[in-house]
Amino acid sequence: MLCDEYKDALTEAAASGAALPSYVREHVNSCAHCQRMFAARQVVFAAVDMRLHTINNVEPPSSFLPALKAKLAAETHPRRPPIHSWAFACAAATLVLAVALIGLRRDQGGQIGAESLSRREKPAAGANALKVDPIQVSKAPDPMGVAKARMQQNLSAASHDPEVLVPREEEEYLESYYSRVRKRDGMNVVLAGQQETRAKALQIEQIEVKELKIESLDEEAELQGTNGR
Amino acid sequence: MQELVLIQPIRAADEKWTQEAAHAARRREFEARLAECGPLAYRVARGVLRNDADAEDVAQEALLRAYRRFDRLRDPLRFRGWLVRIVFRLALDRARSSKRRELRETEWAQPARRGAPPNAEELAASSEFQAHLERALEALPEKLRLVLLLAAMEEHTLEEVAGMLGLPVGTVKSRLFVGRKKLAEKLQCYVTNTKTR
Repeated sequence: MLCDEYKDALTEAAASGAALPSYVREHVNSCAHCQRMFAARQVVFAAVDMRLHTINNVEPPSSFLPALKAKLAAETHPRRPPIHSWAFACAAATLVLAVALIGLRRDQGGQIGAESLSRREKPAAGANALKVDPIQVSKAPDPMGVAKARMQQNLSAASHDPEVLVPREEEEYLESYYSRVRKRDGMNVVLAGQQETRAKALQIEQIEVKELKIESLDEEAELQGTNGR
Repeated sequence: MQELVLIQPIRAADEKWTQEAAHAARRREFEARLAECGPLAYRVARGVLRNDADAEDVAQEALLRAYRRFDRLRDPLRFRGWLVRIVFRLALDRARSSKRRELRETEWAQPARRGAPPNAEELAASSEFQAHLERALEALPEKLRLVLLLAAMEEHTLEEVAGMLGLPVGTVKSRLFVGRKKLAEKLQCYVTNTKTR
């Protein structure tokens, strides 16, 4: 039997470290060449594994993690990737298509409605008692829809925060002010301030009334007349 | 006439505050993983580049990139594998772009013939063998190379490597065997010059 036939089995055994199958062991025991080859393969695999283990388990330098943390600290908040212009174009195209489709359907619906209306106007007079006006049906408000809309209105009214009208240039300042107040738990500060103002009694200084000099209007008019002359 | 805008400052402040809190939480979570995965990233980069400075640079770049994309990671359990792939890809790009590789290829030479075959320890310690092994590793296909690196690293089991790469254990086992076999074939000349009949 040629030694080549055992080559794969020898390589596999050398690579895995497993025992040789009995038929291969018999051959290896009787063949010096295969013995040498098997031993050489075992050495090479062991050397490769040893070296791979050494080069792949190097400790990172001590500065590695601190430097990385410093870089992370300098890093701004992770931002979402910028939306490309083609994404806008796709969105716009989809929107236009959707609007066009809806418009088309409405047109078709109107035509069908008109056709059905004209068909329904034709039947015999006896059928008139049971006829339902399609226009009335279509115009009647959907009770579920109304309820839903009301619920949404109520919800949105409840969840709405106060809205403020400000000059455009002050918008940013006001928002940053609120965020600062929020950060420092400023709502408590504001409330505490309000309580203080309520507790203080109003102090109104006494009004000092100077002595009044009352003159009749006739005398004043006379004075003005003499001055004019 | 002055232009006025209608705003909801409390809601805006709330949103900003929530956003900042979420960023802080995310950063804490990422930093908690750094202690465990930072060295792994360095080792993967070092395994490909075999240069400390380059490895540090690439590992840091990969970790920063991972931090920026941390939002996109749906399953936190896959963080290690995800990071390994980022580092490996970046390290390969760096290795390709550097001209050192060309230099190494020109240095490729046949090993000197030895009298008696050395044992495994002697062979692994020989600088000639080391250089030859590194070149043989570089010549391996990427998928085999990554499996070899990870299997030799941090005493990873086959299951761990399979988990990191999202592959079946059988595939990892087979790739590991093929990779080691290819390396052994290239380095066989160091221990024997016998030929099979």
